[in-house]
Amino acid sequence: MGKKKQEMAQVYSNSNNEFIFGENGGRGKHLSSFLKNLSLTGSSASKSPSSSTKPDDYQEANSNIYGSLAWGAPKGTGGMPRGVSNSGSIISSSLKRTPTQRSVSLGTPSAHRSPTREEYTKTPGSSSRRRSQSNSRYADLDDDWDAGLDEVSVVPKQPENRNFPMLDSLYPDLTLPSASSSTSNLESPKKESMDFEDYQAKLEINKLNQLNSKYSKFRKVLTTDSSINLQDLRKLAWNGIPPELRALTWQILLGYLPTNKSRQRSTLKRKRQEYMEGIEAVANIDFEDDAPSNTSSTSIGTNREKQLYHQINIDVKRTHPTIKLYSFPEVQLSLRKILYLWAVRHPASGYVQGINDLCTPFFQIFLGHYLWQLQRKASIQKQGNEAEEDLFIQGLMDDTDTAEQALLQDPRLGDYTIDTFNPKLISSRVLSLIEADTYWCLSRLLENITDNYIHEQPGILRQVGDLKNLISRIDIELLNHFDHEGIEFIQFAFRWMNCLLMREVSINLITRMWDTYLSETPLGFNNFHVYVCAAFLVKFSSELKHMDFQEILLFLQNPPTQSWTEKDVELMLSEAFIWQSLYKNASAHLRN
Amino acid sequence: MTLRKKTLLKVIILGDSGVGKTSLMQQFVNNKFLHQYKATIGADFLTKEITVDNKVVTLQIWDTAGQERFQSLGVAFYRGADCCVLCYDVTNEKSLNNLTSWKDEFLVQSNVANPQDFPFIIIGNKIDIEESRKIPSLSKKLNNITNQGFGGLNYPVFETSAKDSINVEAAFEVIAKMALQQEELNEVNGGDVSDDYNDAINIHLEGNGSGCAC
Repeated sequence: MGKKKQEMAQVYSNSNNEFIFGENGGRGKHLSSFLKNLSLTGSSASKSPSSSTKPDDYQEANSNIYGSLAWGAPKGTGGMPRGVSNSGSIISSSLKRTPTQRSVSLGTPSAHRSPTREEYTKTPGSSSRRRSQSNSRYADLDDDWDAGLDEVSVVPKQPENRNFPMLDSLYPDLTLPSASSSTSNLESPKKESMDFEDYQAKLEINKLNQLNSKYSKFRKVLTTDSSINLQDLRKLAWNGIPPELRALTWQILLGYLPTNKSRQRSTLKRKRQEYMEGIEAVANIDFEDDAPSNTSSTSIGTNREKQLYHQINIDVKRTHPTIKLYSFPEVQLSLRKILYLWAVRHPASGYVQGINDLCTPFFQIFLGHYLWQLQRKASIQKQGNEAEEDLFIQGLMDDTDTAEQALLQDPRLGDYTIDTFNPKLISSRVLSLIEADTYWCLSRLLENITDNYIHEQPGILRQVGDLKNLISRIDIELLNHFDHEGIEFIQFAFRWMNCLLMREVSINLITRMWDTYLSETPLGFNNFHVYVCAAFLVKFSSELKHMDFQEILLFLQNPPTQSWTEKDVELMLSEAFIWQSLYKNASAHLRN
Repeated sequence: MTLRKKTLLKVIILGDSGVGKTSLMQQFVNNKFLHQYKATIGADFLTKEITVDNKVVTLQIWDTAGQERFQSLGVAFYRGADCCVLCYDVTNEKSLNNLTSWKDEFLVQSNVANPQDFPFIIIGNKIDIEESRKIPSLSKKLNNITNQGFGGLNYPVFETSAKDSINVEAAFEVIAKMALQQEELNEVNGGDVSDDYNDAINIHLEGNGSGCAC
């Protein structure tokens, strides 16, 4: 088993890891075949006379694991069982992802659509609506795509083109042809020889794949039906959510926004109202008071309340001290309200340091969403583009809001980002709506980890114990080294659990991680997080093994993640996913 | 005593949230003061090599979180400590009053064998803040606490400003000396640097109280 695991790690790190971010989020088919093939890995390697360190073995194992998955793997890897491929072979070799060629197709004309998604074709009015939306221009979704919609123009008109499978545009080289083979009319072109017509078709498909986009996929799931398919949304979101749709998607994944769209507006209204009433009910606290010490006399609450408020107050002041947004008194006021209300409503845990960090991703994502709404709205007023209001979180905009009107006229509106925006420019009305949404989403998140913050923090102690057990399975040498140096996991991993790695990883990457956490069922903040921490620790394993007690602690206190990109985080998430798949139903096994 | 191996001294910093424990440690170790440190979660770890009594020692300092909720964690961090620093904020009376419970909590969780003689030191931080905001009749209150809460034991007291770097160096020098004594004591008693504290031996630390600014 140990050998197999080692090979898996090798195979995994040597090859294109993206399969885990495929259409199915690395789950379902991908995973089952992955796991199925793990046994093949073991047997094939053991038959080989030379030991598993020989690179060919990895490639062979690689082909066992990836053979039916990775169509686009470089030819040089060898051992790729091309023969197994069915219709996929048509598109495999030339489908190299060229990021600059990718472009956005917001309004997908009917011929663009994947034939497998029948739900997208069945609504008669949808295609004309989509066409009209293709006028809208979308920019800056992702660093590697070009939003120019002029490129959408190449639309294959021939009906036979509909027979070709639509590939996942994000990871075209990874999509399983079998994913689309359920529709019978796809079977015809498969295994046919490549003639010129096929070649032409191949080029067309190639283009179509590039036209399709993450954004439009989310758009489809979020807007097509009157009720959002949560399964589909989770699958998409696991691989990362486009920044503009993150707020909406998070609220749905958390169960704060109902999937039934007709109920969204009323639910938001009720919840926000409930929050405002909650804040009014704690009227004995003066949230405007941010005097540094609990000797300040303006608050008239009990000692306990004063103490709680004091703790929250001093922590809010030192929340993300390097991010400008959190230095504004308006934002600090909002955070104080959110945290205080949460604490008094959850007396078993109350406020615990670190929860202040946890509410910030929600706050800034929701604030950013409001900015985006304004930017969309301003751009219709100017250019007559469609505002895409069906992707707006309801109730934030109000024509009578003077601050909002001023912002809509602001020539710099389009340039504002969450990092440059001055929150003084928005009205207290909007701020309190964002507060309310943040409060409820924070509450939802914390429901999953209540044991982390009650007396003696048993949830965290369990997680730290689980992490250690996991490392004993994944990297026993590291564990032995830690034991030898006298390192205890609680000494460094406590904070990892208490703040969900927010102290170790920048907030922009944390929001990417939460896309995945929120797509896990149950939500990933509890158990899945432990696997992520394991992946995080093992990332530094080779360095750590050469360090002594002091060096290890100093290193882990300030791990070198400053230069990390989403790719690093995604790799970590995919590793965590594999380990969870291997170990989650084997806790007895895990615990020796 | 000849130096056979690197001497490691383990120092624990305790005190209410926001009294400036992290700032003190940063000022001592890195000679810098930042206006906004994030709240400490669990405990932070820093080291500094200094020379005490012509002996080079490495201070391993654990800067702990101030919120009560984290106190149950103490066991993991306090064990094997050679000195414990109790911090309060000279503008926050409650943080002064809590010193006794911090000390008691430490003794319970660290399970030291010689609680009567374990070296503690008291630091009142933030003396840079304007006089009017300071605790009224501070020295009297402090005396009350050492007489009652600390059983009349005379622990060294320093008043510091981590911000303006006042008395920080001096305080840590005393901390290092006390920790070294404690460590050598353990060495004599236990034969090696284990957590095995055997019989308590009386040591008197009054002589070190020279830094008291009261």
